[in-house]
Amino acid sequence: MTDQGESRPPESTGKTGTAGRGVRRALIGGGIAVVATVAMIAITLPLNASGDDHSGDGVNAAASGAPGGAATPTTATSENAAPTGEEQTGRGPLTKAEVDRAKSIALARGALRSAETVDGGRGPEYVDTDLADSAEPSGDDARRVEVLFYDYGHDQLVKKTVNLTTGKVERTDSASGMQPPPSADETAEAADLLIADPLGQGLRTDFKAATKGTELTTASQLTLRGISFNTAEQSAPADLAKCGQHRCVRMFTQVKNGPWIDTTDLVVDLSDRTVARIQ
Amino acid sequence: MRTSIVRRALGTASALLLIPAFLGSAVASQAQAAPTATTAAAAATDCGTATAIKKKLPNGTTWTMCWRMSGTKGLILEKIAYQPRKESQPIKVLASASLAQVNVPYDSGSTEYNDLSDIGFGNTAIDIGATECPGGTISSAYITQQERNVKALCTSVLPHGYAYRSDIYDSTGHQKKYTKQGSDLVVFSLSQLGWYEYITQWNFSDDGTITAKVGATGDLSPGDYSGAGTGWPIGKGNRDYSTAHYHSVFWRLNFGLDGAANAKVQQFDTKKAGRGTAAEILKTTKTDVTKELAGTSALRRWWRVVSTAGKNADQHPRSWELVQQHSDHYDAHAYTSKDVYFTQYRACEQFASGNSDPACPVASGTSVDKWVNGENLTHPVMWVNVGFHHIPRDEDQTPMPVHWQGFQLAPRDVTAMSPLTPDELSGGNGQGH
Repeated sequence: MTDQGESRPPESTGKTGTAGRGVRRALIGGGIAVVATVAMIAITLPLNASGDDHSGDGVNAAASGAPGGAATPTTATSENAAPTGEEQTGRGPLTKAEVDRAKSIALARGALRSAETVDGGRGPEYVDTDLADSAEPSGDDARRVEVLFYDYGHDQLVKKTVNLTTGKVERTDSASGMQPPPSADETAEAADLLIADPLGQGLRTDFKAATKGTELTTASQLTLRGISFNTAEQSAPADLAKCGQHRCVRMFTQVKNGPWIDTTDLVVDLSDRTVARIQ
Repeated sequence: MRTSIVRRALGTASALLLIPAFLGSAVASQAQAAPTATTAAAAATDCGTATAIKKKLPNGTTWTMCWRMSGTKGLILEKIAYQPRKESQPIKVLASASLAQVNVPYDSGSTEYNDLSDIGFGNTAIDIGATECPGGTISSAYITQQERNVKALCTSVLPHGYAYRSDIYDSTGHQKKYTKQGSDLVVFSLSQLGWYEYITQWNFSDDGTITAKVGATGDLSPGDYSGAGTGWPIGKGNRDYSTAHYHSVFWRLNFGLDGAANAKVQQFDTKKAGRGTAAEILKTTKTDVTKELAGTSALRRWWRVVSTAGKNADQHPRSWELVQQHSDHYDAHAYTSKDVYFTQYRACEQFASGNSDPACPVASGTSVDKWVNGENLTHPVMWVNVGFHHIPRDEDQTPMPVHWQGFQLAPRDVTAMSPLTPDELSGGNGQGH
């Protein structure tokens, strides 16, 4: 990892980081190089359509055994499109139309109006939608969908069970202390809070170095994946003990089309809009 | 034609039979893969408007199932059914099967991830490229958090080497070689969690074996370096100690044996029972698991889930045996300290830890160890924990070779003989012993 990384443009990304993260990277030496290497992978792997039989060989590594470098599969790959439309039955992927309809049914007639969104707005923050566990083999086969919301006003996770076959909300459950993965919107809010926080200094510095001088001002300059952080489920320092009762988020952070910047030791508490460090 | 059966064929250890699916992807020669498999219409499998996964493998075994993607759990397989060549109807096995947690704590004590419950394998699902699914079918699904369709599922048929071979002598002393190559229906999805990438894979073999495994690849964490004792020096010299860490992977299996929710669970233990005339006597005892159980692996211990609704032609109840592979369970959390759990089915109990369904009260606990509380076990859900302690090595530098962890479910008395038994030898059921 280190060796290959060193052959990449050796930006002084990490070493110029002034916050603790940058210092730690400088100490470990290999850190910066790794950043560049990982970025290369992130760019090449998902676009793997080039017949390069060395990049995607996790599971079906087969062609490499063929003599004469015949890397192209001898049998074609076929594709099934994602199902679409509102009228689905049975057990299969949810469609976009179903998700949209389930959300709208869940929030019909002003439901959850007293809740609060992540940025303090009226109504609940939408988190996720999933097909409900089937009671099969003994239950009915209705298309039942669970829509999850977070109410930042009361720090509660709210689940609306929507029967898409009947168009009705069948039940509403809520609880505190449960923290499913954050949505893209919640994650962007967390990144904005981090960018504006003194603890975001290392991120801002690393971003500027990686982009040859561009200032980091908004989450949209980053590719993010949010990680919920619940101290009831893992150990954490005392100053983060609220996380779990509060909705807290860590992030995998990447410069858009660029290198990773490791921010995983920083926790954004979206409930009280503060930032803390794990160490 | 009736032939005399060679006794050793009856005593083959299941573990030996079961290993190929774990190795299958590595030894598979793509040139032999699967053009003979047929993809039938969804009609036969009740997935509603969705397209079922249905494959008839070259040796005649058909597997069918429904699939979908959950943002958190990733790939979910439902209504899994197995139809051996000579069975007139599919035999229902699992109502649903999915991952239930991937817990990744680092030995340095400075970081920990719950990759499934805190990030999500569907939320991070990535497109599978054509070269990553040679000869197979790539199916897309809408991923709600990504707000896009992802080429999320690859299904293909891959050879797994020997199904069997045997030189058998008929009653007139003539030798005949019986041998067959086996194959698997392979389904997998990919998830990219930061620098780590996971392959969630299921192999459904023509002999009825189900293999669940998760592969980790991508890159070691670029930010987690420690020192001797908690890391391993990778790269030149002894400078950068990449931190060792755990992957504890949980699967949740909701059985629906022969279409019934009710099933029995049994534990078997084989213990030394004194010397025989030529070797140690080993005695196997059965324990009915009638209440919820947090089980620990032990030498010669295994579990099976037994159908209350179906028997094979020999009048033996059909069952599916948990075949464990090597696992180092993580003893720093209660829920990862056990190797298998059996809990009474509850729809809202979905994750082995970090359960986040408000329909299950927080006070009842949010991890599987808390749900084992003496309840009668009539509709069992099996939770399998497989732990892998990863001490990095030089070879794990970019991209990290895939490391796998998983388990298998093997049919035990699901059919009267193996579904692959050649017709000439099928008269051997009950003979020769």
